This record gives sequence, C-alpha cells and structure tokens, in this order.
Amino acid sequence: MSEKNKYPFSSEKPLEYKRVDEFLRIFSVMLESTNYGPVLDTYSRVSMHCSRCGSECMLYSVSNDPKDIPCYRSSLLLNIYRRHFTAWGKIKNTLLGVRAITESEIDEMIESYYHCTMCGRCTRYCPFGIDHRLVVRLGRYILSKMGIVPKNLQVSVREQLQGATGNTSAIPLKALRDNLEFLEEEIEEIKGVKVTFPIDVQDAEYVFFAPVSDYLVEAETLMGIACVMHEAGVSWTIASGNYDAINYGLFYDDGHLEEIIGNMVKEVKRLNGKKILIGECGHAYMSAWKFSPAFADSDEYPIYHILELTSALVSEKKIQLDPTVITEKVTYHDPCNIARNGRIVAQPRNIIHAFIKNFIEMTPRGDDNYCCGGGGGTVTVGELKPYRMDVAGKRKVEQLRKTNADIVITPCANCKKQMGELISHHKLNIQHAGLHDLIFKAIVMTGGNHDK
Amino acid sequence: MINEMLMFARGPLFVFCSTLMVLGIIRLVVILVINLHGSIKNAGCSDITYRDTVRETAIWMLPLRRLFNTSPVFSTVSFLFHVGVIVVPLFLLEHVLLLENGTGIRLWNIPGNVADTLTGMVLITGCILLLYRIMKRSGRGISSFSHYFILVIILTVFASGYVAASPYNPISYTGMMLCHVLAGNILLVLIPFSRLSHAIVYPFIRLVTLSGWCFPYGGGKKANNKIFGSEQIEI
Repeated sequence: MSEKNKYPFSSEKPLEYKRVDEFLRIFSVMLESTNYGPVLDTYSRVSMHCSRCGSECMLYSVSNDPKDIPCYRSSLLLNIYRRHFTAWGKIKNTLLGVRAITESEIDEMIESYYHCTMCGRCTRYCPFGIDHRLVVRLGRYILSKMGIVPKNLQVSVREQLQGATGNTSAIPLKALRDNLEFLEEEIEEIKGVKVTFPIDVQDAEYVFFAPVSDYLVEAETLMGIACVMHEAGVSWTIASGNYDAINYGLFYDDGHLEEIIGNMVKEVKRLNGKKILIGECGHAYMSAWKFSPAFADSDEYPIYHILELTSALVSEKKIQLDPTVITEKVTYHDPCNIARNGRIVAQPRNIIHAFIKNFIEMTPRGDDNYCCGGGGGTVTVGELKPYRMDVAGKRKVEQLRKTNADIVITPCANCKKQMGELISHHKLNIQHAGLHDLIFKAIVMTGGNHDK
Repeated sequence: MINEMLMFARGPLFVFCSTLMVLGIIRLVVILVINLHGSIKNAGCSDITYRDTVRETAIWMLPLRRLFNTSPVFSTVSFLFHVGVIVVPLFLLEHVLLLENGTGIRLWNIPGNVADTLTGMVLITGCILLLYRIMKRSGRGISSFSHYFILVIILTVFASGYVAASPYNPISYTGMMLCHVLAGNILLVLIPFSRLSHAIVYPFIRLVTLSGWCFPYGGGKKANNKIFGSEQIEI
C-alpha cells in the first residue's frame, strides 16, 4: 500500500497505515487540549450551507468546483466531528451503523485544506460569522500530527525551532552580518549616507524582526527600512539570537506557533527592548500581534508592523519623501493577514499618497481584497504551483491587469513570492516591490534626526 | 378518527413537542454558555471585541446593505424567506390566540392579508431555495439530507396552513389542519436539535469564532504529550 502517491505535496514521513484510526485519535486529543471543541460543536449545528461564502471565495469563483466552496471544505471535518464526537452521532453510530471515515475522505481533506489559502474572505461574508479558516487550520493541525504536512513547511519550522541557525532560511549569523555590512555599503553608495543595521543594541525602542528571506532576496526592502529608521532617528535593533519573524505555526500547529512567538519575546527581553517591530510580512505580524499576549504570557511588548511606524513617521514629517522620484503608475496589494481585520489598510495609503502621484487602487481592496493566491503557507509548496497560478491567483491577475499599473506594491514576503511567480507565469507587464523598496528610492537623506 | 387525531396533535402532542423544544433550547444555550465561558477562561482572550461582535451580529440580522454585493438574487430571496418564516408563526392571529390561551401571554398580531402575503412569499422563496439546492451543481454539492428535509418541512407547514385557512381548500379543513399541526410539531422539535438551531445560536456564533482563535497557552505541548507521549517532539 503506498499512500504517498495520493498526496498533493511531498511530506517527509506521512503515515501510511491505519490513517482513519489515527486521525480519530488525534482529533479526540485536539478536542481535549484546545479550544476547538465549542467551535466545531456550534458550527456543525448551525452551518446551513447557504453558499454565500462560495460567491465570495476566489477559489470557487475560478474553479466552479463545489468542493472549493468554503462551507463544503469545512463540512469535511465538521461531518466527522458530528459522526464521532457528538452524543447524537454516537447514538446513530450504534443504532444505525453510520459509516466511519474512509481513506478517501482523509485524502480529500489533505487536498482541500492545502488548496485553501486561509484568506478569510469567506468569513467576512458569512451571515453567521463562521470562520472556515479555523476549521481548515484544525484539519491541517490533525493531519500534521500524522506526518502529513508539506515538506517545505516542516523543514523550515524544524530549522527555525531545532536547527543550528534558528531561522527558516537557515541563514547563519555570520552570513547575516556579512549581508548587512554589504547592504550598508550599498546604501552609502546609493544615498551617500552611512546608515547602519544595528545588531544587539540594548534598551532599543524597537526590536526588529523581518521575514528572514528578506535578508536574502529583498535587500531594497531592508535598505528602505534602515533609511527610514536612520532618517527619523528611531532607536531600533536586530537581535542576533533570533532574526526571523516567519511563523508557519499560524497555518497548522499551535505548538510551533507558541514556541516561535516565545522565542521572539525571549529575545526582546534579553535585549531589554520596548516594542516588537515586524517587517514587511503579513502572517508574521498577524501571529505576533494576535498571539503574543496569550502565548508569551506578556502584554508588555506592543507589536507594530513597519507600515504602522513608517506611516506615523510620515505623518509627523520625520522623514521626507521626494514625490518626483516614482513616476510610474503604481497599485497596492493588501496582504490578507494585515488588511482583512482592517488593522493595516489606511497606513500604507498614507505613505503612498505622500510621494506617489500616479496611484491606482484595485477593486476590491482593503479588508475586502482578494488574496494573492499564495496565502496560508501554500506559496512554499512547490507542488501546488499550478493551482496557485491558474486557480488561486487568477483573480489577483485579473485585478492587476485592470489597473494597468507598472508597479504593484506588495508589503508581504509570501505575497511577494506569489506575485513574482504570477507575473512571470501570466507574462504581466508589471513589477512587484515592497513599499520600502520605493521608499528607499524616494527618501531624502538629510543626515538623520538623531539630534532632533 | 381524523378529528381525534387532530385533537391529539393540537393537544398533548403539541404540548410535548413545545416542551421538548423549550428544554432543547435551554440545553443548547446552557451548553453554549458553559463552553464559551470555559474557552475564554482557558485562553487569555484579551482581544475579544465584544462591541464589534454585537455590532456585526446585529448588522447581519438586517443585512439590507449587504444583500446586493455579489449574489443579490439569492441573498434577497433568502432574506425574504427568513422574514416570513420568523414573522408569520410568531404573529399570526391564530397563533397569538393559541399562545394566549396556553400561557396568558398576548403578543401583537399581524393583519390577515399581511400574513397571507408573507406566507405566499415564504412559499415562493422557499421553493426557489429548494430548487437551487436541487438544480444547481453547487447547491447539490453542498446540500445534505437535512438541508432538503428542513426546507420541505417548512414548506409543508406554510402550504398546509395557507390551504387550510383558504376558502378554496380542495381537501377537508381537518385533514389539511392535521397535516399543518403535525408538520409544525416536527418543526418545533427540530429547532433545537437540528441545523434550525441557528435561529437560537445565531447571536453567539461570532463570539464562538473569536473564542476559537484564542489558543490556550501550552495547548500544543499538551496535545503532543497526549499524542506522542512527550511535550517536545522532533519536528
């Protein structure tokens, strides 16, 4: 028996035998150890499958496959819950011999739960307020304990929590230091000002955590951030013990989520920092902002996204952006994890309007935006690329085409990767960039506000 | 015989079903409140925004501004259906009198012609919803037996009540009324014990969702311990 062939992505050690028994056993443990029980109990009672979520889901709107309707996706797990973990389900099992889960149901869940990008648009439009992301996440959580988790996610988390480098891209500290030195030289060469990337500064106002992949592939984003900090005289530091904001636990595992947040807060404590600053990343901000109070057992470190800080600095006129530098037509993509809850929608626009004159909005946008198609960790899964390009990302491609823009601002590491692949796959005549990439080009370096 | 059956359905059976419904609703709400309290207490849910939750719930109870976003026809049909399904059973004169006789509580009642119009609206919109579930691939894909059954029972209650009260009743009043009362009794029992419980649970659902996002501290380790026998596992 080789179940491996059925999986839509490669896993390191997926459980191949007795999957049904194991699924039920783990499901039962999850109900005891987490808060999912009342959620499933309520959702399974009330879900009327009105299909309103389907009319708002970008996946279903493209695939037209009923299996992509969010309430159908959720029902895969909710039906199992109803059959095996409710009193009525147990009575029916005994009296009527209701069927047990089948192997094919497990396979369907695996595929379905990793097609969903957990963008949350369905929840916004559900008349009941059912959050299908929660159900998808629990499904992934249970499957991950059976070893069924995309290899890339697992390898990244392993390196971050148990590896020598402590970050998802396995960048050693020495390489990070070399890279930052190189970026400092680049800034000096381009801007004519010596700007430093501070490491391990005690008592800094902000301890900065970027998605670590930015240190490899998004140099301009980091240089933009460094210039903003330098120019505004913000006290900040990168922490040598932990410099990765990525938290894939958000997508499939409570334990990983908690541990990664714990490590982040531990590092802030070590440096006696005051606030946590997250770089241009959606899920990293969401996981830190939402879960650090509960998981790190501390409310003492307020969480800020870099766009919040930069927007405030723009409003306070602590940085100056030259409005003549960016002349191209620019649009803005709202990453789901910072925009869906309405937290970071106005701030990037405040920055954009300060120096970009030729700006066009997408429709829909803000908290109503379409996902880039690579959310929920799916962008890391190579095997899902065809689905991400032709189904999940199709609405975003249509949006980009309609704007006829030259540049799409994408202030999220995951979205950037997906956007780059979409642009290349669909041969779009547009470039993607982080907002701080453009800020880097436009910022006027006056020598900094250190003494102001 | 049929008269006796009607008397039984209107009498002891109705009392039994109503009692079952009330007890079921109490059970439902008590379980929900206990679960919610446990969840919120379990995990430091410091960011639950009660005011926003109540506001969002209230907005969706009268979603006039949201009907026309993407599926205006379906949303309007569904909205009109719900208006009729809630208003007619509660405020029809005959039902108001029934309640007054049984409990002494007198509710406001709607005029007969309004009740007839709303009933017609429920029948038309209910049939559209049923046809959607039968005819459309997406509707079939997401519908189970209970979705069809609940709609059929609701349509039966409204259609039989309408016909029984109509002067053009092709069948006997007693027979049609028996059908109405029996289907109504089934509906009463279904309210707390089926998907119809959304009528009761609705005000709590958004709060349940928020509490679901409050993951308890140490929950992951606890789960690992129970699954693998160790809090720390090799990833």
